[in-house]
Amino acid sequence: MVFTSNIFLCLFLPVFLLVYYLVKDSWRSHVIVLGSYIFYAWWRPDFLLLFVGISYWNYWFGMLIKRRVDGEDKRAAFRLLCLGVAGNLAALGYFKYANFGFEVLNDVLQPLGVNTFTLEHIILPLGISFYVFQAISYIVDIYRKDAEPTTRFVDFAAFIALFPQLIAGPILRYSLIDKQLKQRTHSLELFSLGAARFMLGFVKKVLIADSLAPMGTVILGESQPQMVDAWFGMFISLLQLYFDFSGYSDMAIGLGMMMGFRFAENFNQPLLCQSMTEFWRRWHLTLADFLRDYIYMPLIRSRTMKAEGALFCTMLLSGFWHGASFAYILFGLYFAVLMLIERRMGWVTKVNGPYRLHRNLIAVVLVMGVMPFFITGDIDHAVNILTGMFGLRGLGSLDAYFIETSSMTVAFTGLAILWIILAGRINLRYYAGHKQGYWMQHVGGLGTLLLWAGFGLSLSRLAANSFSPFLYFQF
Amino acid sequence: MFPVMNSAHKFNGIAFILMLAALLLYSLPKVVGFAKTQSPAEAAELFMSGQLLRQFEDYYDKGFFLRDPSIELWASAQYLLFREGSSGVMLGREGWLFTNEEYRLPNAYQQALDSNVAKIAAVEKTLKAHNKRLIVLPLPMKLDVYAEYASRTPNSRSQQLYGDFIAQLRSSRIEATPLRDAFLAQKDQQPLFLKTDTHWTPFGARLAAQELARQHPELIGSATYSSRQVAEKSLDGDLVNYLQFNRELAPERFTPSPLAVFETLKDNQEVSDAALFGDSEQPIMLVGSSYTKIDDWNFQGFLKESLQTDLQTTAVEARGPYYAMEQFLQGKQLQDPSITTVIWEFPLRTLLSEEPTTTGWQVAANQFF
Repeated sequence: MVFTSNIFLCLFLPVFLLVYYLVKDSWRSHVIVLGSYIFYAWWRPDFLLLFVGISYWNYWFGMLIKRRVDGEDKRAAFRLLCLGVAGNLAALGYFKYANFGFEVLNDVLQPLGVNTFTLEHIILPLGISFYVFQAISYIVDIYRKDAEPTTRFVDFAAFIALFPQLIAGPILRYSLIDKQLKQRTHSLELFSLGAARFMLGFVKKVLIADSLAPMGTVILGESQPQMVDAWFGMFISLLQLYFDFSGYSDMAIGLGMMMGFRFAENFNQPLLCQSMTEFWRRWHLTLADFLRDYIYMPLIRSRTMKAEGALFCTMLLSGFWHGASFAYILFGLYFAVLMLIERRMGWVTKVNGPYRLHRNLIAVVLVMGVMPFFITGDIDHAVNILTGMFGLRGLGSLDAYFIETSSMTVAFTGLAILWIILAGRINLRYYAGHKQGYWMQHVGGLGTLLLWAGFGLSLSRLAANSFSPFLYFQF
Repeated sequence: MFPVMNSAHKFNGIAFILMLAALLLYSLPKVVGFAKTQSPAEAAELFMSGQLLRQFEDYYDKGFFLRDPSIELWASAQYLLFREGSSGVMLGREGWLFTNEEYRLPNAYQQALDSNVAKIAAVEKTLKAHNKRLIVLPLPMKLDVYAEYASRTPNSRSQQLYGDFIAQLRSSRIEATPLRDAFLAQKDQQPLFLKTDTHWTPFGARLAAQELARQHPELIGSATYSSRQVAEKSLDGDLVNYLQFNRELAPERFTPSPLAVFETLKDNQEVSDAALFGDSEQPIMLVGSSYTKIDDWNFQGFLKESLQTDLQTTAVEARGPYYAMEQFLQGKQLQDPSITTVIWEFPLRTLLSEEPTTTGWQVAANQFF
């Protein structure tokens, strides 16, 4: 199910919240699990079994690891941790990477005359990359003594299944949310804040990201993109991705608040970045934090490799996590190389460092440079777009965008840019020391009016189009 | 942290709850309504694959009370603010509508031409192997013929497209019958295209048939056919489907087009044994798209009249010229030795369409729904 669907808003959410608030506190985790399973099964009920299986596996390993850790049997605990993580990665590997693996194997074996393998197409379970990572965080946090394992399966199942963030994050860390699973505060204030945050995300996704989508489709459909149209297409795709994914994250955070949860933030105005390193400190923060704490830091602490090697591996894995294709590996490699260069040259910038416009522009252009790999997931297609970006087919024009889309789309592009500039300006002032009193931080008065007007328009936009999938569902 | 929403007036929460409650009350009868459309056995089978819920969502969305008013609202806003119709149509002057397909000029212009001519050459080769002659009849674009009614000027290269296509066909030794000059010369005498439709008028169809006969006198037979107007009707036009705004906003524009209805009959029709049992030869096969298929244009009739011969037809609507040709090449008629000439009605805008992309994140995201 998608947040931006009529069914979710008109049927699922009201029924869920009604039941959630009608039952007593101790039953609310049960309601979360049941509601989340229905939410997930809406896609395909048969894949719910895999989901439940992974939940049991990690719950069970969590308890086993805890027992060994308490008994000071560090080695046995580590062995169990490895086995538990391997189980998770095996599931992820089979469903997400097996098709790709066999394709590569066949490409290698065919020239050697060896009979190639055939494999039925494996369906990628919705959200598997996210819930497997959350499950891993649970057993690792227990092993590290960062968290106490839950004694009730239902609490753990609620952590893994929590529907607001189930499909595309923000990736939850058990150690940061375990207390909330047991005890949450519910209040009209928090609910109102959650509702406002949900509506904000809804506007970002339906009104802006979906309005930009036809422009993104133009560049993907162009067989020989030229310089101007290719760069413009990448810029629009970047805007669309940001509003799509950050809109989803806002909705997830808002829904969490409606249920008494406080999730971690996932975005901090990424288009303000002044280096690739800073980009990852502003973009998909929960993934970046996960990769730092569960891959980068362990590689350094274990002295397996030095910081630069660890960074390289982490970014490469980050690319591979996004998708099973060489295009995503190149996506990771691109960031890895640029971030290493930044380190060597001392160009790494900080989120709260001084702002320089030219650095910002260069960084955004560099991010646009990797977008062909990201939006196509296909090397040939990406190279085709890059050929246009490098001007090898001439200057080009924006005609195709105006013919295939509409002035309304252009107007929404303008609105998206204005939004980015205003929010960016506030963000910069905040880090410059002006920390309080931004009207966007409190939703009341004119802010409420604007928000509801935007939400009303978004509802009507959704009703007119019906269908609005999130781009990050494929990862 | 960083500046994000950290408080909200309680009105937001209360209003949100009230909105959800109202939406729930509206939705419950829909659930019951859908349940009545399903048998339990069928529903159980569809449930596990997720199909049942997709069907429910479809049923719900199509009947959603906000759907039609929302479509009209956004379309009306677009019309009022920008004088635009929905994606797919370009509003022209004096109530003329054009499809945006005719505005597309791919960057890969030459590649598009080359690949189309290569495909046509392959067809020609197959036909030749079956002792059949191919004559391509490229139909000029409405936008090219009536460019003065377009509110957005088409790319100048698209005006060269017709000439480039004919030249390239000829350099590949493929017979082609150019129509553009005749259409441009005649466009003020009679309407050759409908104002609110992508297609030609019967006058356009008749002109194309006459021009074909003029350029290929060797095809003219001895039977006499006559066409006459038998009625007049009014046609909304297929492009009107893209005008989803409230028509009250522009009551005088985009009115239905008057359409003369023609009928073509053989003169001195005799009921001979040959005619009765179908032994009379029909050496010409007309292959085409909706310009041939739709009876309103009477293209087939005008062609019989101009060529003074009966003919066979393979035409398919809304699939482009290649699909119809594939149907013919895969059918038994290809083996029919009595067919000696194949006329291929080929709308020029086909050259501007590109293969839909099969990669990209929207394609990937859609796999889940």
